[in-house]
Amino acid sequence: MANSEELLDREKKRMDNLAVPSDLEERLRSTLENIPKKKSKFKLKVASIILVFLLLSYNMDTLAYYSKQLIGFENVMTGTLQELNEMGKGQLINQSHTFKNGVKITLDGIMLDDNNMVVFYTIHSPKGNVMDVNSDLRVSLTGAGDRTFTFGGQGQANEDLTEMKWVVSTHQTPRFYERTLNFKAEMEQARESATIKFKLNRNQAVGKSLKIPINKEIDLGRRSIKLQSLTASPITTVLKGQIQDTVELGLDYVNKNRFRPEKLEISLIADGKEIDWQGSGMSTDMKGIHFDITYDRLPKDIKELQLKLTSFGGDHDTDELIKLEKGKTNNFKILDQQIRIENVYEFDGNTYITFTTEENVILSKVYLNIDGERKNLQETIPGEAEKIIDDQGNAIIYYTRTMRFEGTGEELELDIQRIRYATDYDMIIWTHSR
Amino acid sequence: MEFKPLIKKARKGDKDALLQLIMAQQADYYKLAYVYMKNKEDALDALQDMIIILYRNIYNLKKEESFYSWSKTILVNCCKNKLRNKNKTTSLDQATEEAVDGVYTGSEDRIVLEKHLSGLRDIHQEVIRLRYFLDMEYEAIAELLKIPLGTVKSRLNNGMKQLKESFGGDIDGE
Repeated sequence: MANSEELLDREKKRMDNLAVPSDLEERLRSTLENIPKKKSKFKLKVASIILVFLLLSYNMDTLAYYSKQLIGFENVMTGTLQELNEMGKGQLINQSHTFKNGVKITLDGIMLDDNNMVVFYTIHSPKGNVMDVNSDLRVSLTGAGDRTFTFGGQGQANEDLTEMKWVVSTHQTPRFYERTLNFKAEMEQARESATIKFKLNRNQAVGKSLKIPINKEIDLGRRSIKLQSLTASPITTVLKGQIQDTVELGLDYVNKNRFRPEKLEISLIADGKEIDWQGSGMSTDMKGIHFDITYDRLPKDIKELQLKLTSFGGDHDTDELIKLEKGKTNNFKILDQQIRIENVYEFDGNTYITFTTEENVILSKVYLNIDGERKNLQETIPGEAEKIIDDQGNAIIYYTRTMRFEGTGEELELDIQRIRYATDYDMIIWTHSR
Repeated sequence: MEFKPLIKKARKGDKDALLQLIMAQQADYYKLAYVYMKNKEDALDALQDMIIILYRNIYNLKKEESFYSWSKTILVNCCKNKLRNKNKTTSLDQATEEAVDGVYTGSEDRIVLEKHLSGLRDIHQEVIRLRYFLDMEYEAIAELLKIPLGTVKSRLNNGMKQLKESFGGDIDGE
């Protein structure tokens, strides 16, 4: 067994690697936004003067602009980006830094609109080991006051592994006052870093966006979804909305009846054709849970837009105690989810519970009380899945697996504190035609 | 990064400036909250509580250069308040030893360590976590918790002694 120092040291390493949640900034921001602002007449005056000035300069930026196109990114770009690039849209940056070991990083260009910022960069490694270089290289993007942009994307290396092209897209857009951004690359092993500063040229932004307000609430029993808006930009289409409790969120916390949504799938359909899904995010604040779903750009000249709900679910607090007996089966429902205990048995000082639920149901926080003593779940041993066709012809997959708890005893009580499940839908929740 | 102009703005009620100040040290804030709350959701909740207090009280901040130590002390207090409320309903054991069906996420090391740590008094646990998990200097801990340097050292000594004894007991038992 490890001693206390070793364990403290391991915990420190874990803390060192602990990632800051991507929604931290959004949550703090919305908390701040909900605090009423202190008023001061003097400040108001100054603010209005600045605002007029900024609006003027901002408007002058929005003229359409064509520039050169980026070469070599064809394989990494999605269809929309490819087209925009062929049209010469976007802002060329073309600034490089060469590290001591000969590795060069080039910030090729960016594309910007109201939903996204797409960044194109290239890693050059003359030694032909660009994959290794890439995994040692940490790239980050910051704006005013070191505000960090989170991003995701894809890269592709050439055949002789001397070059890798990356296209990444940020989850936040620069604010109107953020004109200078920093693209930072860090070689971890060599502890060498480089920052490429570049100025945003908003008149090279790829074009205007169209925002369609929706403001529609969809009642789903215990919860409701509020669709707020759909913003169609030349790069992407973003749906924004809120998940609301039909009961107040505050009351839910008191009742220990919390619900943490984890899965919300809504398809965007344009003239009967589904638009590719690109990503989604959720954040929580005092007003509730916000979500955004990003799809590909909308095709031109569409007549009808639809949103279809396909799946919604998450982690629910339950607090259910179920008495079990060795060798006996048991059937019960929690929040309308059927749980079937197939077998309860002892082996080698452990208690095993085999049970079946629908495939997408997970007991996300569960203990076994053995003779009044609470035991943690040690592991879940995978089992069999079975497909059953119900009366209406729907296929349901049932999944049987076994939980292992340490210890044995006579009085067994399964303590289910949380259960995670998603419900499938096939429901058009919004239609917009022109 | 130059913080002073941002602190000046934040003192005048500029929410963006305040947010920028926090985000500039986001990892420090998050880890500090996490060390107390031990999970992401509660750590984020504590940070949200903190930013409300910061916004309402920053005009009171006497020395601009002490923004970071001031705000982190507030964060620690927010965490402690949350823990106090939480302990009214669940014990610390339950909060930390979460077993997850499917993927077994809690590493065994962590559970063992938490078990021993949670047997210590809060004041001892706290300094051990700050010193060992976050690698904080004695002076920084004293500043953060607003206690004398000597108290930090004695709490750490006593805490570590008890922790080792606690572990020793386990080894004897095997």
